[in-house]
Amino acid sequence: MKLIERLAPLKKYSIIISFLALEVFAFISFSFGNSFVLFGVLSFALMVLLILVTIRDINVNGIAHIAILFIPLVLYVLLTAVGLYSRFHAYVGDFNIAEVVFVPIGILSVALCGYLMSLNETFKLKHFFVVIYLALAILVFLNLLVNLINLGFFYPIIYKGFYMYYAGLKSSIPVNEMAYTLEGFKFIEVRMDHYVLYPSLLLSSSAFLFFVSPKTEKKVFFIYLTFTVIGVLALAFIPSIYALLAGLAVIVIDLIVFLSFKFKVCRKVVKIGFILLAIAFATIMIILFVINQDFGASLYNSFKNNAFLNKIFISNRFVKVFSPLISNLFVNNRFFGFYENPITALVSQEAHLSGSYAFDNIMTGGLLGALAFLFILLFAVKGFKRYLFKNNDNQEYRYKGLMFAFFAIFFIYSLFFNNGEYGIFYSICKPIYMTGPFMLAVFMIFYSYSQGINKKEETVNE
Amino acid sequence: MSKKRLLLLIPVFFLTSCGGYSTSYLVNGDAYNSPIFQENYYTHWDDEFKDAVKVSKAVDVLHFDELFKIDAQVFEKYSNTREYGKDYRMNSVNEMFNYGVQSKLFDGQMVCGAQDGHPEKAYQLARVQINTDGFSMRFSKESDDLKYFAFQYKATTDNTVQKVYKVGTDELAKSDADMYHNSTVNLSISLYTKTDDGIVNNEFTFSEVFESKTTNRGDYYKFTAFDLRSYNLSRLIGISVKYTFDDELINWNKEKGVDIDYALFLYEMFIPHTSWH
Repeated sequence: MKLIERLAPLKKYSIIISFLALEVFAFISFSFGNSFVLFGVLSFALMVLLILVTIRDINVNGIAHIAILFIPLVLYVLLTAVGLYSRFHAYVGDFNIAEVVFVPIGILSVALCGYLMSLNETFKLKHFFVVIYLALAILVFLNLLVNLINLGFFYPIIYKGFYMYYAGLKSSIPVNEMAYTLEGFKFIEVRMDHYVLYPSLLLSSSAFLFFVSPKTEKKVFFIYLTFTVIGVLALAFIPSIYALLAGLAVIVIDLIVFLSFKFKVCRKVVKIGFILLAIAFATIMIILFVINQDFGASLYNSFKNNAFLNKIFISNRFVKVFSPLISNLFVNNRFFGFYENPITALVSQEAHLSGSYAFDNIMTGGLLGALAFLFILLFAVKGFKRYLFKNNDNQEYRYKGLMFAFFAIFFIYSLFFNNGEYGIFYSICKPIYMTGPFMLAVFMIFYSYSQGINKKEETVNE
Repeated sequence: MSKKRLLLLIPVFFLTSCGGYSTSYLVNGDAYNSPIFQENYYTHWDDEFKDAVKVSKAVDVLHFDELFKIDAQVFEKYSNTREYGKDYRMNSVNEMFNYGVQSKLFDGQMVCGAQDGHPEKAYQLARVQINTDGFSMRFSKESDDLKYFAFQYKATTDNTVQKVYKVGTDELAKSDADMYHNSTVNLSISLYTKTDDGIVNNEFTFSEVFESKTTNRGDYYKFTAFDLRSYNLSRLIGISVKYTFDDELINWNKEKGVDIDYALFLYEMFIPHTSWH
């Protein structure tokens, strides 16, 4: 009897696996213990169980389609695991070997879970989102409570310019730029831009409110309203520029989601908008590459003399970290961003995060890793588009809209605010690819991409 | 969730508005870290200690080389105060010693300069500077069975004063050696304990002499300890430090019309072998 036929009866356990998957996602969403190794182990175990219950539904066609995303992801995670950032921080003791090993294992497992879950009919997005938002809501609420207990309402305004002493050390930044969050099993002081991550993600749940009526679906409406209110309070009671920008981003994303589903013309506008943004991003990257090479020195000098161009291309926090990497990409002992010796990074102080995932990729994974990630991103967007607007039965589109909102908020956050070295008194080194939200985003990318393929095949077969 | 249960959240939010836990530890801007000597005095006093019933006791003090008389393991393990401070620092005993400006006194930093490669903890950032008004610290937990109290400090004058007269002469000092003088500090260390009748100020007084030294030099620290075992103190909730002084350099220059400020630089405090609850 073939293995597949032997394993076929396991399909009846798919509903149990779906339930277990929800528990895993709850853990990851809550960032339980803040242990990436734990998330990786859980994802790997879930992947194995999913293979067992969906093995009959796995087909060569599906695998071939998903390989377009999976192979670049393999390249990306492997290069990241052995890249400059990982090796440097493992050398200085910020990472342990388990964390480095689980970068590829954990991320690839959760990606495969996304594909396999799309084959599991007992898995419902409505349960998935309630679970992850509930976990986020608990985390955000706890963080908010601790901040209010320790520092009070609106403390960034009241105590602006005040500093905190801890263990004999004065904080490097004033208290209006920091907040308490749960890290592991302890509440510690972190940078404000890191605090804003979880309320922002929780606020993406507000997109759902556009699609549900408080009269006919009171319970569901109330649940998502509660998530939204907690997210709003977490930002409103601890006001900061990051909270304001996060709020604006959520409003924009919510409008995009709502209008795109309501009016087809808006989809074209959004599509054009994305294309323009992509072109702008590519242009900026090309210019940055050119001005940081020897042959671009004269252009560099002319940019430096222009206040506006200087701000965009030379003297902002992203570029200051990014430029040394770009300028030395082809120098001896480096292979497209890989150092021969991580101590060189220590001396040159290049192994520090800039605050933007897009710019940090070239350091964490080298040029090849960054390009692989870009490739994944482009195809993820394509997959999202296909998934979002096809075959929206049973009001499934509402949850697809949520998925887009969650992913978009996460992407915007990681593009501008992500600072993996966010501890004030504790040395923390947590690049975005070692976080719970990143794993959820990877899951969503592969789930939506696979669903888009499946839907396409159903349409073709019909 | 019923409406009644939701109403329970309201008092939770009001309770959280107290915000007293950490806000009292906040300092404005560059407080206590100014290049101007007079701006760095720490003068915080807890109101509840001001009316405490005082019980004064004069004590005989010990210095580091005699500490083994009250703590046997010091003799075996530590050859200098820096090693002692590293192991005996109070913030390794309880987390509450990590908060506030006073956490500088419990972090194991025994000297002025960068210790163990931490320049961010050096100089003004390493010490608590006090004037004769002194200061107090209120602990959020209590401790019993106190064995001894120890601390490391320096007596110092303001070395930014440009024209300083040599003691007993009309000549201006031109070097450190010209400013050698005697300085006597009369210290009052209060250990506040809680009783059924209120708070008791157990005041321990003693004098220390800095002989023929110029103040504000890097190596003239004093490590002073006194035994507490015979006093059977329990429920320790706070400490305060006050002092008076008699400084030859300041006295002589005052006669000459030059005012020089004086301070104690406190570096570390120890209440060893205690647990806090």
